[in-house]
Amino acid sequence: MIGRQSQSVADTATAETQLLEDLRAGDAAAFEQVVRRYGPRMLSVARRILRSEDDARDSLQDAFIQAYGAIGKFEGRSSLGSWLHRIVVNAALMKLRGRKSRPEQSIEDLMPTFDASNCRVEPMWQIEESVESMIVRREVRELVLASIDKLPESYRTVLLLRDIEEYTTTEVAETLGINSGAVKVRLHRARAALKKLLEPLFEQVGG
Amino acid sequence: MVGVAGMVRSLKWHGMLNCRQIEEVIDDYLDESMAWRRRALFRSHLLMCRECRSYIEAYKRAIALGKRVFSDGDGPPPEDMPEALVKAILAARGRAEK
Repeated sequence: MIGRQSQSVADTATAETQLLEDLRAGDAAAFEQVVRRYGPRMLSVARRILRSEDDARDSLQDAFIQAYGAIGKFEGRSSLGSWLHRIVVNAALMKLRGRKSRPEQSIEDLMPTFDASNCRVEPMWQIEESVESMIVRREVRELVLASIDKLPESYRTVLLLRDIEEYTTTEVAETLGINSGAVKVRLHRARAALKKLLEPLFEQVGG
Repeated sequence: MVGVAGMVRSLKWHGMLNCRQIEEVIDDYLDESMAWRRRALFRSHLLMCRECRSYIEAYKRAIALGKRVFSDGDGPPPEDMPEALVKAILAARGRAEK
């Protein structure tokens, strides 16, 4: 069984090597194969970042053209899928930067509060329902998506890259052109703001 | 007369982390990147501070919901690309080649 798994992994690696060679040679059929194989997942990524179908499709197109132009520089240190994932994230972020900025709620309004003694002012929450049980409810999913959309863009982007796309802090910093310290601060504030926006989902108990 | 809450508040001033300091390092605590000594101080604070315990539970739940909604809420990636989109991408490649 282990032998068969190793063989399957080796076959996949061989197929990907051949596909890369064909792509570098400018083979149109290979390019189409890549579009069809990796496109659906890349489109999902673009949709998550842009929350607009038109913008997601535009940025996907941009991503594939960039990939086509840069395939000669792809050294194969990561998988083709990972490389394409990064390209579509960057294309989506470029699209985001090009958008007209919309009015944003100040993140300060969503930060936790402390009294003059630096003691937290916080209701007592009773969260007994499991995540699995909550997430199947449509109103919960809608509130979570709407809350993430409400975050100011610079915080929302860090949250998406770190918590959803699972980039490391260093990778987020490199992608956004900011330092790791700034990534950590923005991530924390984004998470704190999201918690504030999701408070209607939590049961408050007396205290 | 000082009640329990007042005693807890005064203890927070005696070489222990206060709630604002807890706020600054929550993510280090949650991703277990905190040095053990600091972690011990953090946990000591949580033992005494129900506001921070409550906050962290809600904070963790918000993170978990955010992660799950994107892995479940948008559904799995579609099996196929919209054909019009595939054609548009292939046509764009053709233009880029010229």
